[in-house]
Amino acid sequence: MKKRTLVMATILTATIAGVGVGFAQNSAKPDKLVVAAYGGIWAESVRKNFVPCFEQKTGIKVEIITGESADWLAKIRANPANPPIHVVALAEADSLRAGREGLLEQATVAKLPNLADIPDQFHKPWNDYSVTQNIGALGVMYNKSVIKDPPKSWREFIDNVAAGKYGKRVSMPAGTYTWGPEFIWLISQQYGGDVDMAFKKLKEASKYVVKFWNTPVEALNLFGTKEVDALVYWDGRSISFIDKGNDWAGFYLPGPKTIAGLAMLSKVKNAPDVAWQYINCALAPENQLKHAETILYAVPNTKVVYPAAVKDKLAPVDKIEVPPYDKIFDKFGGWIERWNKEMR
Amino acid sequence: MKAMPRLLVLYSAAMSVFLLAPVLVVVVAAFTAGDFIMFPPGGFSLRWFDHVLRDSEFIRPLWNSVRLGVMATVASGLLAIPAALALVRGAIPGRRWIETFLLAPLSLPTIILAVGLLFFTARVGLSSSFTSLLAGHVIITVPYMLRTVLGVYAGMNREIEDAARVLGADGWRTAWYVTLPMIRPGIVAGAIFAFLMSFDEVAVALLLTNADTTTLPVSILSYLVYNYDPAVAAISTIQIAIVVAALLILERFFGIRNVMFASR
Amino acid sequence: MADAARAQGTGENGRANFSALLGLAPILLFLVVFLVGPIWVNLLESLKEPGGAQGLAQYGRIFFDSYYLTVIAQTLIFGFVVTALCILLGYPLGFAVARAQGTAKALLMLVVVTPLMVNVVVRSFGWMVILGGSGALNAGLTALGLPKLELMYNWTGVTIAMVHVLLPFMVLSVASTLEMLDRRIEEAAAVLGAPPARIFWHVTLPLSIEGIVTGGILVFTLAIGSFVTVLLLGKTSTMVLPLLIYQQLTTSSDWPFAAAMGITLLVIVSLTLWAQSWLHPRAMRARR
Repeated sequence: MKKRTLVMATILTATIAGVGVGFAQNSAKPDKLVVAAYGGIWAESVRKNFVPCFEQKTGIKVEIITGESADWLAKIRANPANPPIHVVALAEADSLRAGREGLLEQATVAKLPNLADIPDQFHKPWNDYSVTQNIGALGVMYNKSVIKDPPKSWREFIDNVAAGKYGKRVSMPAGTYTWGPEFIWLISQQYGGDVDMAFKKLKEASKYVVKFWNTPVEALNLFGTKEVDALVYWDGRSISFIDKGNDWAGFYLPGPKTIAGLAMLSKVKNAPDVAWQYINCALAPENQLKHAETILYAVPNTKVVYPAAVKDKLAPVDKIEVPPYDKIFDKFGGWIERWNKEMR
Repeated sequence: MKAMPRLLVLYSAAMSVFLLAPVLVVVVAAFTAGDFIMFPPGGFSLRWFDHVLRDSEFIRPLWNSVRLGVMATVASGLLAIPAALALVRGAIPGRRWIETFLLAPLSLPTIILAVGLLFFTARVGLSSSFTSLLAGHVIITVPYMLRTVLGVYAGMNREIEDAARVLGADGWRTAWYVTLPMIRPGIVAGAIFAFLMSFDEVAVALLLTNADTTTLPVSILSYLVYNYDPAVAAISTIQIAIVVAALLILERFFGIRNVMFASR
Repeated sequence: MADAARAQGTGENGRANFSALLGLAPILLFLVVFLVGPIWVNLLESLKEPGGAQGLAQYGRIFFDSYYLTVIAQTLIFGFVVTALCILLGYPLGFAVARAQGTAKALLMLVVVTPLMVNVVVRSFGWMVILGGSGALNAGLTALGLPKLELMYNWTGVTIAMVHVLLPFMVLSVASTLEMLDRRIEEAAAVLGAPPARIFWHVTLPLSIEGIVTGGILVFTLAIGSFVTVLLLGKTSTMVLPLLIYQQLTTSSDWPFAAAMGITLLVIVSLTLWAQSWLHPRAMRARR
């Protein structure tokens, strides 16, 4: 009987080894480029606005893999020598991590000509390991029939919420949401960069917060079902909500500046070099404009001129501030822990 | 047989309302004419079904999920049933330890299993292959099959097996003709759990799928990052329809309700 | 007669053991590769300390911090409460499934498994519509002139949704053991004049204890292992360990800490399972 077990073990091991070898050979084929994208409208925009440009230039097919930032990061971390994804679109913090861990390849104008038209703040903080594809801006969506005169600044908004001016009918991002630490930073900026003050204010406000949201869809659900009158939310998604027959809602960006949610494009290290051509297509002015029109987020390329119809819907770049990631990035873990402990 | 007590009938009806309510909300929301998930829905329309059925982003993953679920269920049965019989019947030293080990996958959070599996399979050269995805799902589904079969078999009157043995049937024949038919309720329950767990599993699938093997829960999750429209309700409704159809076919050909009375 | 067979069986002990090992070998082999492998990877990761050293610092972060100990306690209590509710609510339903006949039975089984047919995120949205501040349930209460209830973003909402989706596991486990129960024993007790309540308490319930154990194990482990429902229907204070693990893996990207919490959860749950295998009375063994 021992013999039998042994035989089975051998067969199993052989199978594993066999499949492994077979797979390694398979993925070496350079006949396709694997690009990460979020599902739905995002993937649609990639398919419509970026892929044709790339396929025309190279004759190589693009395969889109859907998922989320943290999963893409894990996937390229696990297989650095033979990455299953060639172009990733990570969130800012994940992009920084990947860059630091040496999982990405640095961009230069030689490899990526369109990089020349992207302002520094959209690639320098990442050491050129990643370039911004589009810019979301955090603002406030509100019920116009209830809140007649929304405050113009973040500070006034938070103070009003904490004072109970809108009742318990407010929702804002949780510190544990993907852009939660950036949100905490944004609030701290309104109080002279004092993070303790930000936590204190948010704690005061929490009495009137129905829910600190963790996923964008639950936030929209709260607002759409009129459980809340004020929602701290991303511009593109808010405007698309208002555009689709919800003119009872309004959206604006409180001042003086607001934070951005950026999608960072990177070529994964050890991915085929044609990946640069794809990124170049994604950063080309004409494709950037089409992308902005599809998903209603601003784009970083300075050569893009928005037509009047979409101009008011997109956040002006001068209202946006990219947080100083190199200074605050290492504090994120501590802030998240603090959020869990204090915001109960 | 006596009819069920009226109180039990009333109770079952009330619990049915509880079990169905949130699912019905989703189904009803799928038929909206509007652009957002609303309840009650704004007008009746099939447009979101039309949208979803044309969208390869949903349809391909849907079939991947069905295929993966069936394979994981079959593999779980092949691994778990002999093990459950052996555990109850054999005088194996350290039985409790083995049983605890076999149920260990239940104790491991699936996200931790998923991350571990991702790096482990990458190291043995199996990463993002279908094999590792299937293995990941079988790890999750196998304890369900094992535990339901164990539960039924341990509670079974095993004198019939003894009788068969006395009458000269060997171990294999007894297992095939006597034991297996008797534990069918456990297998059916285990198979339903195994399939549905795999069908809705997202953590392992997120990390171990590639563009060709993406499953429906991954598509839904990724879709929800940037979109909030009734498409998700529509694909969920289609998902329900498929599972209900599968169960009805199972019932028609194998008779789930009759399986339960196999021994009597 | 059974004893005779048993005695004969002991003579074949070697053979029985051989076939038992044969039955166990594939699953053991499979788990040793695909379960122990990933656990090992996580174990190694959990021993990594900031700065590249190796040690137990990540575990220290958990066990020397009252916050994490509170969350562990909270997670376990939540698991036990959900399990108890599922037993109380699910047993009668399992009984009904087992006793129902024909189409009613098929329909009831279909209804019982519906919660499992819908994706967890989508299902949670269904609950938001029902439990929300201006949701269906509160609208009904207001119409009746009753005060509104806070059913969401607290433990109540999370528990309702969790019991809902885990009930199928209890109901089907109980039903499948009740199906196997020899009803002649119940009938004999009835003929001997025992009232139905006594028959249930002294005959039916002890014979179906295996089903409750099966359902209990599945419900408990699932309740303390899942986080999406808690994320969507709870708030910051309704924290459970798997949700912390998820946060560490995604937002904080701190795998070593997440792995340490995962291993901790694995050990706690395994100990619970191991303890119950000692504690629960094996109905069948008592009968023999």
